[in-house]
Amino acid sequence: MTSPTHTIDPIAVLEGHDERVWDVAWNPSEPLIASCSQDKSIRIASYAQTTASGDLDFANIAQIPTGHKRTVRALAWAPSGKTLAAASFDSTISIWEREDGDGEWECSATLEGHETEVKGVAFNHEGTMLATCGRDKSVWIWEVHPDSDFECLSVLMEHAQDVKSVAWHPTHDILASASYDDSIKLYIDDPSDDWFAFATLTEHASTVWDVCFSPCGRYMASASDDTTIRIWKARDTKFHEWNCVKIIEGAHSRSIYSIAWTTADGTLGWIASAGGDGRVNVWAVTEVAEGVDVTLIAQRDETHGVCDTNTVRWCPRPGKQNVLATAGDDCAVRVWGVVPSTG
Amino acid sequence: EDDDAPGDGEPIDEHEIFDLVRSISDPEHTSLTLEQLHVVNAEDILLDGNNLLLEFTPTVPHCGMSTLIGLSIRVRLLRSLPQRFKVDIKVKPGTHSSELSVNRQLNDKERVAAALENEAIVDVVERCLVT
Repeated sequence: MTSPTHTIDPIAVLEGHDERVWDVAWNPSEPLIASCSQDKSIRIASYAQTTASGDLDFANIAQIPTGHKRTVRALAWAPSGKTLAAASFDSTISIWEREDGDGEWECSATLEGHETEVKGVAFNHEGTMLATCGRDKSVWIWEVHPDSDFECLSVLMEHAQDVKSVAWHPTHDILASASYDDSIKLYIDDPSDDWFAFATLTEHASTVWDVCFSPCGRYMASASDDTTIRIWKARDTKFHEWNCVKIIEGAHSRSIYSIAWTTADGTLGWIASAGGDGRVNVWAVTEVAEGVDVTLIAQRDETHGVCDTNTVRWCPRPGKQNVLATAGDDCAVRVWGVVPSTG
Repeated sequence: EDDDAPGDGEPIDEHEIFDLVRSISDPEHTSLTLEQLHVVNAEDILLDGNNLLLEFTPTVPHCGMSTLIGLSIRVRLLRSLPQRFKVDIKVKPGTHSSELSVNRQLNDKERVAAALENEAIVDVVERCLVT
């Protein structure tokens, strides 16, 4: 890599989980971050900017023994910031809310239906739908009603294998799923019929662990066990046709578990990736004639010591979009700032 | 922990790894070890720094026990080796009809973690690891 323009600087370490931390999720409207673990619990920390220089201080505020009988694998906040959904290997999804905005976190619903481990969960951009996926090869779409009532709209059995992750488009009700069958599928609702898969992207050579959309919605990035990242571009304004416009190779030596895309001035944004090699990479993405250019702007090894890094997620709050959180097999959540290099 | 060796202070090498796995029982023939059945062999263990590749040979090409054997090996190594090792466990090429499928399962960290939360699977694995 030519001289990196940025560094990934440690901001905080959140400890407390007794076993590996699988996922971390920033609340979109309040200064909270949630994490979930093989220890079957969810932990929530709050943060505040305490100095003029902008340093963030974190404090653990809640430890939720969820009642799940197995690993809690993935988390998603509703856009309102008031509801947290948790996917578990015990085949259920739990929904958490706080009474009066400040009280105890309570389980307001448990969603059943998946036959085996649930591995991914995501709310759409308006918070009107929830998607879940799992080892039973299915993707479920649920409608969110008031009073934590979730109604199953569709059960999509399109993948040939275990579905690892789901992600919603930032502006349209289009869903992407990543699978052990090496493919990514995209789904949309046919109002006169049902949800269906309108595209299958098959270029990865192994399990696709994670997929995310660019903030503008015209691009997608995927992370795979084949140690590559692929960037896809929508060919039409309805986001129905997608082509691979960039393959990033050699950035990780082991499976890439997680990928995330944030806004950054003057570009299409920054992509962060994390994987079994404990490395976190950050690229600046710019638009060119037929696709994108990516420039590696920062890289950090051993983000969780000798342990795997399972998830990387950007903070969504204004002014803090260069802040990242990672979850690792060292049982910790770590918070980082991607800042211009000094000297 | 950061100890270099399970015992004698020597750096870990392929022989140490073999010593860790040779006495694991076969899930089907529990009075026999993986060494006795030639399922694990010292020459099929490759160590490159902290990267470990262990290839094992199933007893028969359609061996339905292959994932359990692979899982037992993984658990033995997980419990015995320092955390710095990245372990890949595969069926020796050409020795199993569903080699790709078995390898994919054995090296999918999430699938392994979920399997180890399944009591029935853990029971079988523990019985293989008593020895």
